[in-house]
Amino acid sequence: MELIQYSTEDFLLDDSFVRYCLQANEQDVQFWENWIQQNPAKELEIAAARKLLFSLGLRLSPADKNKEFQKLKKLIQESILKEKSATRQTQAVVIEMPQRSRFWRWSAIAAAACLLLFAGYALKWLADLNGTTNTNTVLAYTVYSSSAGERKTLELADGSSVILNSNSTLKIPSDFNVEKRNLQLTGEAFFDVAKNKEKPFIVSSKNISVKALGTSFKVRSYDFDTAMRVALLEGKVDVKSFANDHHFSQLLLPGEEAGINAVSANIVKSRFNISAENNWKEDKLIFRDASLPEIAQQLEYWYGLKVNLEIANAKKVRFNGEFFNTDINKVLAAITYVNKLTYSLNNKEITIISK
Amino acid sequence: MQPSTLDQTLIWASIRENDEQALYKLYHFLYDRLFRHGIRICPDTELVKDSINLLFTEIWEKRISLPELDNVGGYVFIWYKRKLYKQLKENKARQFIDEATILSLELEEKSYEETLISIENNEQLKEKIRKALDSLTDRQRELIQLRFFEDMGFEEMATKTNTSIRTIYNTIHAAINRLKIELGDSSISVLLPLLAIYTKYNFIIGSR
Repeated sequence: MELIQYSTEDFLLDDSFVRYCLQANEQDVQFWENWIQQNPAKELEIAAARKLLFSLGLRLSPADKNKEFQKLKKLIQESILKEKSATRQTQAVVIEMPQRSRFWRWSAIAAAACLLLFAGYALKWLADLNGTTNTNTVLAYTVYSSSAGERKTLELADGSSVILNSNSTLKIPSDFNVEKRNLQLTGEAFFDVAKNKEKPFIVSSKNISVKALGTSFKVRSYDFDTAMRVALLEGKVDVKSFANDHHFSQLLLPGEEAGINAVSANIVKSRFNISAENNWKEDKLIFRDASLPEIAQQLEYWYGLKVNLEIANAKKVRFNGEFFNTDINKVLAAITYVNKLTYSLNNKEITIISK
Repeated sequence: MQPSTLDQTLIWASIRENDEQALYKLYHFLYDRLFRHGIRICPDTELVKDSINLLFTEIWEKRISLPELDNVGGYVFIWYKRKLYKQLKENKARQFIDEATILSLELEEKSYEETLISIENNEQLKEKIRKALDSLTDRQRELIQLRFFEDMGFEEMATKTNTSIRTIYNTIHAAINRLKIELGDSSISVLLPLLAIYTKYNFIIGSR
């Protein structure tokens, strides 16, 4: 059964959904948050399923539990504060003992130190409180988008860098790098991940999620294309895909890529051409004796846009060219001009037309 | 996701050595089980929640003198039982109820179904939940408990009840359907004070 046809009952019987509700597995959480966002029509069924799950399980909801956890943190901070001020006082007493004549001066210094210390802890405590309420109430996103033909390079808070390909969107939650590093991608991006074993780096898109520790990899998942791709250049990543009531998982090694079908979630592993990927990273677009279908395929890959060919008769085209960091319009003009073609370009597709 | 027994011993050792984060890890690890245990003894969810927090504050305050442990979960559980008992006693003392009554009434663990009914404050709803649970077959009730309260997977349930996974799936499906009809949409939302789940959910929908 397709997820979109799920009833409340079906959601409750889906292990992955249950793990998401209980926040027991990071990848399930990512997947479902993503899915729910993309399928707002299922709001009622999902809300009912969540309610029943927590009621029948005799559990507190995550929000209520978090409220309790914040209370506990406050209690612990208070207790720590009390302990610190207690030890401060005993130290002040030790100082004053041997030099009775300087009693007043010493106690003044000790009192000042106490005050400063106390103020410091109080400030830290307040800061902690603020920090926690911010991250736990509303989770906002920063959204980066690139238009057709545009490429963006981003530096993330954890030191990782991202090349966002043409026609793509990357959503970064405001709690990125607080306890985890989760991102949501539409389109294609290359990630150079800063190592941090404590905070796994997870990119999710459609029905896949890719988990990395410290590596560089590329994820492709455009809406117009049911074929998705994860290519690993360095390190190790775990690719998970989800469909109906099952999921697949595949570990990649450098030089390996996973092709994933957006509908069936099937993963096929193969090797890919690393030098071609390096060309992409350096923004070097190369055509070698390319036919029109090959050009179309290459452009689709490069810009993440659907490419249509509206060519009158079997026109023979062989195109050679290298573009470095070149504007999309210039690339298309160069290809079409020498072959006596025209093109049109919008935010969804490129069309190449014979004159 | 959940730390194994070995990790628990390590976490315990870290708490003894002043590691605040380790205390929080243990808290998240044990919370659901302590809460469920608590409300089976005492239907007052506020009291149960407070006593869990007091328990962990106490663990922290006594961290220096805590013993080295192998079975951390068991130790904390017993500590919690005593704590809850003490709190119930204090509460009851204020309400002038004698100790014998507390002992006889309060420390009994209720059944799963009784607990579901007892934590609801509204009498009408209590009746509705009782009726809904009564409308299920014995097998349906058993499977609902295994799935949602004992957190069993389908294969585990199949082995335990000697039935096929398909049958289990269908039985639970029918049971949830029954509950949905009996409780109606409006009353599911008050089965437990769970309105807060919406907070997280709304932001997902709203942040599009």
